[in-house]
Amino acid sequence: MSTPRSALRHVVCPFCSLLCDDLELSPGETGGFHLERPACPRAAAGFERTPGDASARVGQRPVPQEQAVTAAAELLRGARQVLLGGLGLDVAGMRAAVRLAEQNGAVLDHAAGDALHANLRVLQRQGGYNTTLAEVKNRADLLLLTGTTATDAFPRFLDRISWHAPPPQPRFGGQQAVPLRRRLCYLGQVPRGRDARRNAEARPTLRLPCTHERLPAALDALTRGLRTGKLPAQSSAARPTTRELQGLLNALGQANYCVAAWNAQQFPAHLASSIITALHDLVQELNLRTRAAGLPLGGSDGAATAVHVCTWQSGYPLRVSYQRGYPEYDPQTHTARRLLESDATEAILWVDAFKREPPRPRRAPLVMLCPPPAPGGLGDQDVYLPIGTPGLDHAGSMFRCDNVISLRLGALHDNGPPAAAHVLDAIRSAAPPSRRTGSRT
Amino acid sequence: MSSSSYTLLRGGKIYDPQNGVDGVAGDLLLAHGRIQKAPKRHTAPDKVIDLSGHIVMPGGIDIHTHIAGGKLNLARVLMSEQQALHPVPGDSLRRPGSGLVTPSAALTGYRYTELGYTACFEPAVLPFNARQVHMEFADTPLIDKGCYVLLGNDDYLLRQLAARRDPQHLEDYLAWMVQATGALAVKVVNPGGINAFKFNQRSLDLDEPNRAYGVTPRQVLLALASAAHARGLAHPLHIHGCNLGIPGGIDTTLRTVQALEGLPAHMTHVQFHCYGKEGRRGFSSGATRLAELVNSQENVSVDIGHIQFGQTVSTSGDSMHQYDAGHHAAHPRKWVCMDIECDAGCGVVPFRYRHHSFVNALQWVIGLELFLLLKDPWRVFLSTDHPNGAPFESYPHLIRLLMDSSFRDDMLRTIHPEAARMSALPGLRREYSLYEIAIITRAGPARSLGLRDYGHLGPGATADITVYKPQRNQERMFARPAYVFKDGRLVARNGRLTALSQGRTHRAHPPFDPSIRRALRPYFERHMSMRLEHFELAAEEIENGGAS
Repeated sequence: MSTPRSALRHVVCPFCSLLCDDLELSPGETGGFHLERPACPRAAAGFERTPGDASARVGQRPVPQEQAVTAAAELLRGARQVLLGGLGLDVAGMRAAVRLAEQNGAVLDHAAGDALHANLRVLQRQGGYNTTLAEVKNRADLLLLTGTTATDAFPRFLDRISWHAPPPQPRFGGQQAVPLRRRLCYLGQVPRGRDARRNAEARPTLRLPCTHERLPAALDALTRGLRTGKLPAQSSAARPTTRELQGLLNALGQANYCVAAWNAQQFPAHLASSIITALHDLVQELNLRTRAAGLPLGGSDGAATAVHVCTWQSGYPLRVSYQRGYPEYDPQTHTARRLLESDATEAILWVDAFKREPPRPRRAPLVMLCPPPAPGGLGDQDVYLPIGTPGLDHAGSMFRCDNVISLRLGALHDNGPPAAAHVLDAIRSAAPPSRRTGSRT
Repeated sequence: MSSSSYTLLRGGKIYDPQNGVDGVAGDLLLAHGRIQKAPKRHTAPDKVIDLSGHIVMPGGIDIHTHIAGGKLNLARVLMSEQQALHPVPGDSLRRPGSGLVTPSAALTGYRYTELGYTACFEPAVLPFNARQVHMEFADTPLIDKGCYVLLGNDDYLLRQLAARRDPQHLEDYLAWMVQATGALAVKVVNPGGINAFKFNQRSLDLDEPNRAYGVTPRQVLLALASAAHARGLAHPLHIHGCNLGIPGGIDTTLRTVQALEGLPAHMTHVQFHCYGKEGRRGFSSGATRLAELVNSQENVSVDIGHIQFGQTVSTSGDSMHQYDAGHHAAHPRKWVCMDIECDAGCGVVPFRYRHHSFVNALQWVIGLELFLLLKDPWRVFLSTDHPNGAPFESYPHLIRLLMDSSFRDDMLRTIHPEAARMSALPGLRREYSLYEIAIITRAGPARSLGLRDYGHLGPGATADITVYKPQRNQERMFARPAYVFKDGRLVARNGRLTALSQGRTHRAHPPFDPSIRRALRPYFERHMSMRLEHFELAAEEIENGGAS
């Protein structure tokens, strides 16, 4: 027996960085798993995936796994500039990816590298004050969602912080503790369509719809309003209006513990840095009098895991090149986006245990590692190797969206494709270090 | 070296304080990773290493060093420009890495080994970050590791104290937590203060109630110190007290020692808790007062947390005081704090300690005064609170400061003159002997941590051994040990790594009533963000399943 027939309880879900650990699944009829509860479109889709043709490929040809490993190793060995990207991995997979990058002088970047580095750059420049999910659940009395509804990318976000919980909501304190009076504010993005139906119970206190372009100015106005007691003058037509901002300013002033959450992946690249900077400034201004903290949401598809493992192994949070034999960090240059399009890149290894999307556009031959079946759009020189998904096909550990916390995920069956760590290690063993770059010894 | 081979270390001068051996020439026979009984005539060693003229000590043991966990990664990210100053290429033996102040995990193992250290203990593991700490341990080669789990700011404990739960329950909770996180001991940081900061209290003195729970730091300390003692943890409660870094904090520290009511306790990085507020600048040394008290209280041990001049980054669970320090002293001017999981907090603040800053110079003075005024070396451990006071790379320099009073005088002349004038150092001519250095860096920490087979060179001890070639300049001598053996295997020669090994993780298994899980499960479901069974680490998540 390779797949349990009875329901599985308390399953940890790898399909977004909330890593919910209360799922109940039953074996599906066609080989996947059916999500019994709770409702979550992302988890349901992830677990319901049925295993397709799990053969490796070189070009369009199905080949034995070992042959594809050899072909992948040859592509990497011959290349002076290698991008090791995607990095949708668990801890073991990421460890193997760093090892391979060390050996082959590759550059490491995550598929969501731009959003990750939007947050990291601001942190590196000015620091910040952040918080984690349990703190939000028990302490936040004002949740300011900026440029995101949170649930659009993390469907169960509000459940996880018990925002819907019937009173008495979680609260802390001794005898005299009173239930939190919680307020929810959407600034920028407001929920629409299915997202709005999902959030119906959230009952936002405040909605300040506006474009992403308006967010830096709106946030700065709030920070200045807190500092001086008065909102700066603005044109009456602008959204959010002064009246709307005044409502939020009052709420900020009354809150004991405000959490400002955002999702950098939803910001336009040219605005991300200024919005995130303004959010941190607001949090720090609040902290002068009351308590407040930021909650940068993100980290799905192994992004939080990749950052952590790469940081303790190389000293840097991704965008690291090992071309000179030691880690070199350059968040502007060592980006997947740039290297995919660069003629200097001679081979790409893209590994993603969650998505089956080869990177595009790209110029160099590709070694693609993702769950089977082989994705479309692979060229004649490309190599495909099937890998499993942690928490489904094999056990593993991953980091959660709030970065401090990690969970152990179990295997739901034992006949899935191999773990990425296993395949990456096989490629490393088959591709001993190139001697062409003189500085590597 | 195969497990059956015998290595004879011949003729070194042995410093083994645990066994009372003070620089006596002798032989050590190593086999099966351990030190064997006196060489038998019929046992022909496979290898003989002539150590005549060399100094032989047990491998170094660092009882308080921040080497793993989320706050270290935050520090690496925040200080990436500093990481870039220290790129380290890989070679046939080592993996590449970076950093001196917050080295990457593998480098931490390599560099500690090259300095003759064979075991290091991460003192600030917040429960919900324990899994990460053990992952990093697994990626930190060579040295043995262990960690202390943080309690005393978790809302669960404070609720139980507020509800006056029976001590038995608190003991079960503490013992369960040690096992669930794979820890060796328990630490408390700013008892109840980190929690109070989440309720917007900006300071919390020893007898000041937490606004939300009405619980004082004194209650937290007593509860934890007695629970750790009652459940037989070898290392007593590891205490980072209230009021870190505050002028006048010495008064709190003295009252904290007295508050323990004779219970065994370890006061950590006391230099940072030893500031008076006398003098023109309202900042003075409390070293004499603290040393006097600690000298008279046999239940208390300390490590110093000495600072060295230069750039570093402080990583601490004490978000309350790191928040303040960030505003007033961060260099460069950026810092990160976090509130974490109704469990603890953290703060990462870069510091540049300067010779010519009065405050920094006096901090430097206070650390040395403490080393020299504290009489019983078995209750004093060498630390810089790595990397908070200085990176561990500076230990050889610190050892020279302790061993060479004229060197100390020379250094004293380079610091802020007013701090030098206020200092008691010119009158303190004490010079640590090699025997005493072996106590404060080996035998003492091993004894305090309950590691019976470590920190000494008697038969049966783990063959973690460091050999130095004597030099007049002790800094040079300690910076490049001639030989380092880990589990009987030669791993470094003349300060350079020669072989790899993995090291093990030491953990404690204090007993608890399993029904504590029943009590905790609803709390986890209502307040935490994961289920209890996912919080508890599986044995395979802790390197080698834990050794002790």
